[in-house]
Amino acid sequence: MIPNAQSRPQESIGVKEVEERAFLTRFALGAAAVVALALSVAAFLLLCYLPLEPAGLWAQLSMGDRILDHRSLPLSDPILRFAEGMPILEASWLSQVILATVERSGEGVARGAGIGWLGALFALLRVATAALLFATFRRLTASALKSALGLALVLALAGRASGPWAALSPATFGTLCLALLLAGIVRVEAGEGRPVQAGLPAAILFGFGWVALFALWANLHVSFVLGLAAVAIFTLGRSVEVVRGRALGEGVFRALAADRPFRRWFRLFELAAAATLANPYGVGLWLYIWRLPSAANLRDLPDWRPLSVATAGGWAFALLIGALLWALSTARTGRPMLSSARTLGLAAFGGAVLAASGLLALCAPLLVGFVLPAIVGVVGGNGETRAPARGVHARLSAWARERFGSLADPSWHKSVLAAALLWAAFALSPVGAALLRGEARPPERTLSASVPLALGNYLRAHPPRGVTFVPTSWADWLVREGPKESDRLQPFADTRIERLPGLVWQDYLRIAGGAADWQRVLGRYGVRTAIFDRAAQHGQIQSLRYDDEWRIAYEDDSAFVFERIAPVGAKGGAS
Amino acid sequence: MTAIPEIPEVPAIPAHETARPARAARFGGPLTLGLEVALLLGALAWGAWQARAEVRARALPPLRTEPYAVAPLYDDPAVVSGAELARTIPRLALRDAGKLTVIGNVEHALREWGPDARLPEPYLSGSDLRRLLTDNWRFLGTYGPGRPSLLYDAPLEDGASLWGGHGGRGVRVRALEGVATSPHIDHTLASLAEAGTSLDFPLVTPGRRTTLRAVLEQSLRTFNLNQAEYEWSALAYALYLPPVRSWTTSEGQEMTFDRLAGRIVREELPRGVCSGNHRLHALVVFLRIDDRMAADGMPRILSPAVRRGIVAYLRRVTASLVAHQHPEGFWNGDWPTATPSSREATDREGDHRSDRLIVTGHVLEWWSLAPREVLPPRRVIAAAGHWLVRTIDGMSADEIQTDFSFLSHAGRALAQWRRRSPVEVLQLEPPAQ
Repeated sequence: MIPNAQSRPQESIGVKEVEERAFLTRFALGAAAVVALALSVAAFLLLCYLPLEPAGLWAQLSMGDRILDHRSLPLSDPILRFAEGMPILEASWLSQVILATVERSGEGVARGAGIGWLGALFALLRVATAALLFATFRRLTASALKSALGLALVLALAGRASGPWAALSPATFGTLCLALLLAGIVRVEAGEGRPVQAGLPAAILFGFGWVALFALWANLHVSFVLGLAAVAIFTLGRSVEVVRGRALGEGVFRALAADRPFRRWFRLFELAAAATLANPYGVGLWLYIWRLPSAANLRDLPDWRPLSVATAGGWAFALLIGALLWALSTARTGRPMLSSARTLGLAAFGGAVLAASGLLALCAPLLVGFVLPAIVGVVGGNGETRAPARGVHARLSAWARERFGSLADPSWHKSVLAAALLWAAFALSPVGAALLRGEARPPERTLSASVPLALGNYLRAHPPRGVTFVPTSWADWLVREGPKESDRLQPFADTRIERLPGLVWQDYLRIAGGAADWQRVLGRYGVRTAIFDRAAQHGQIQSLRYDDEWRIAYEDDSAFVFERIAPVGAKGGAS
Repeated sequence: MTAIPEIPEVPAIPAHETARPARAARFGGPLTLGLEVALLLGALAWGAWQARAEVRARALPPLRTEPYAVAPLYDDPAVVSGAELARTIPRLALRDAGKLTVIGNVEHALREWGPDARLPEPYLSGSDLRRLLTDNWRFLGTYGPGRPSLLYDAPLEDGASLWGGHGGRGVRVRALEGVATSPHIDHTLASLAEAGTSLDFPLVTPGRRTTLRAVLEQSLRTFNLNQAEYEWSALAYALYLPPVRSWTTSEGQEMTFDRLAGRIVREELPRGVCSGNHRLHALVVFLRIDDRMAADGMPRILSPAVRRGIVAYLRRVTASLVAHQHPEGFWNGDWPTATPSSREATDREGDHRSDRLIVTGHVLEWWSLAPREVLPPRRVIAAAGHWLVRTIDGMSADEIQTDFSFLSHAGRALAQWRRRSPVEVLQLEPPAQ
């Protein structure tokens, strides 16, 4: 253990020794850091080995493959035949490239390891996001326990089965960016009262980081607009406070110009907005996102419907708002518990979440970040109002500090232990397994049970001709992992439903839902192979099973494949 | 050791506590802020301009005011003699049935006879047929005020607004809602186009006076490649658009004649209205307009690969028709897969006399316009022509009115195989009253 610098008189130590110790102390870790690292490593390893959910991931990988192979962004959709001529914009192209690169890297090291590497990436992203949020909440609340509660609240709000925390997608990158932004916002807020020149190099570094964050984010996921909105809201919030607090007779513009925090927020907003234009589509990306909510197809997805308390996220949101209201009603402090910016942010993002429930998973860190200080200010008391600690927790803490305090001191032993933990995280992860031992787990263990592995094997051996009707949740996987090259599956639709013309999507729903004319619709699209989910589409399976024009080509525990064996016999009407 | 100090929430700093010193304000005063705000507003204006530019890029292309005419190519007396034509064609005119007049029949009669045909009472003349379809007052005169109008104003779905709103008013044609509505999507438009109607032709809706152009523009915007009925849309576009080869729908989808052709051949035969023959008719018109473009020194509307694909497809269709023609010369609704089993029509769906008339009349019609490379042997066409003449000869005037829409195709086909229009035949022999 490194001796405490204060345990000996300073005069008894030589200058060189002091310098050496100072250097070494920089790399010595305390117990808290090691414990945090151990928890993170444990979470990482646990998450690494959870099966990957397919939700949309394979469509992103296919697009990533396409971009890597052609070294350019596609001008038309290379997968969906019925989307020919529709305008496309790969808003998440960088995420797609990263995902495809990671998967290819894994496959390059050991056949079959790509999926495991994606699992490791997903685990890393989730752990990093959670750690960032925890650190930010700790900065806000000055309490590890309250920060953990805040993090739990984020997970409760965002824990949808197809959300960025549950399924690897470009939104997972977006969530990490949101966490980074929240950390940046808290930092900017904390620095509002400091003199301008106090940390100029740090401020410049921060500015570069800020620009880099938004530039990357704009190429990773469309959620950058949420970040931009958050910065705009903080700018607006500050302006509200400036206007309300200005001197009598002072003009609004002059007051705003004289307020350093406002100017800082305004410039950060300008920088962020400008940085987001650093994408292949320029302002076209903004226009695309502006129009995205009005895409008719998306309204059929649960994510784009209003938030309901019938979902766990809806309950968590209600709990959050309830806690906030309670905190506001029991506040004893003389000043507002929520700043104007936080109030505006809560209203804007809360309103957005209520209108489109899918935004909850993305907005959760911001919402919790907005209300957490107010809630914990009441629960635990803030710096001004807290009474001397007298509870069991306080007594236990005092006892632990007295008894084991020395264990918490920074030491080289702990640094070595941390290095060992990092090595263990690497070696025990799928990445380490592939690199060190050439091992790859079979897909049955790395993928969710909902992935139709056996069906994929069948289709590789018997590629269907023309457009194939297949549930969208399977289409992504089958396109990438089914027949290759010119035999590649041409799905009727996949999870990127915003790409499809409205009528195609409506017709997909008619067939998938077994509407009265679903067979006629199949014929209209010239579909010769139809794949149905045994569990969800029993009616369609029974209809085709006894239809002379179709035959069963394949069946297993989850899927039926039908092939048309005769021309469509339906007669047209008379002119 | 000491506990980690609690960091309280940083309170909002009152404005007067954070104001810059006077010297610093010189570099960050109102002027600088004003410039920054101006910069931001400029960026917003630029974004809005970009959005407008995107919308402008989606504007409809210039349309031909006068539609192309696709004239018949062959004069073959082996298919129908002059005497047979003179006997048959005059019987195939539409009687005025007052409120029971079927709009579908009106449209068929217009495309058969054209707007210049002068027919005696009780037949509807060409100009009256066209007025019935384009003038709401004339429509009211026949059907009375209780019926929903055939034409109606609707927001023009042009996607012109950044916010997805509407940029003007278009005109829609009511379809598939009964006797006083069009029997198919864009059937009215295609019939008017085939009858040579200019896009500047006046149109009277219940709300305003406009021109036929409003109907075509609305159709172009709302067209969906995967809609159930697309044959007449494709036909009308081929007659009014070229040399323009593409346009953008309100959904933002770029439409081309190649894509339309792909859609037409996508479904298996005999799917589609009239046992799929309107699809084939549209493909033939595509080929003819494509040839016309080349002859006029303009860019073709079809890519070489798609054109080759269409020709190959039509050849296969013709081969199938040759293989499944009844010895008497007709086909029925099973034409892609089977030869009719009996000389006499049966009650089986697809094998009624009307089904045989539909298929045989339509096939003969599109063959009369098709390039020689997709035609069958002459005897096949002749047999079909003779069967049509015999069958029409055996029908009473009332039966002809009942099956008028199918027979109008047969009449047009017979006249076209003598490289004439029915109205030219009529000049030889007016219809009997």
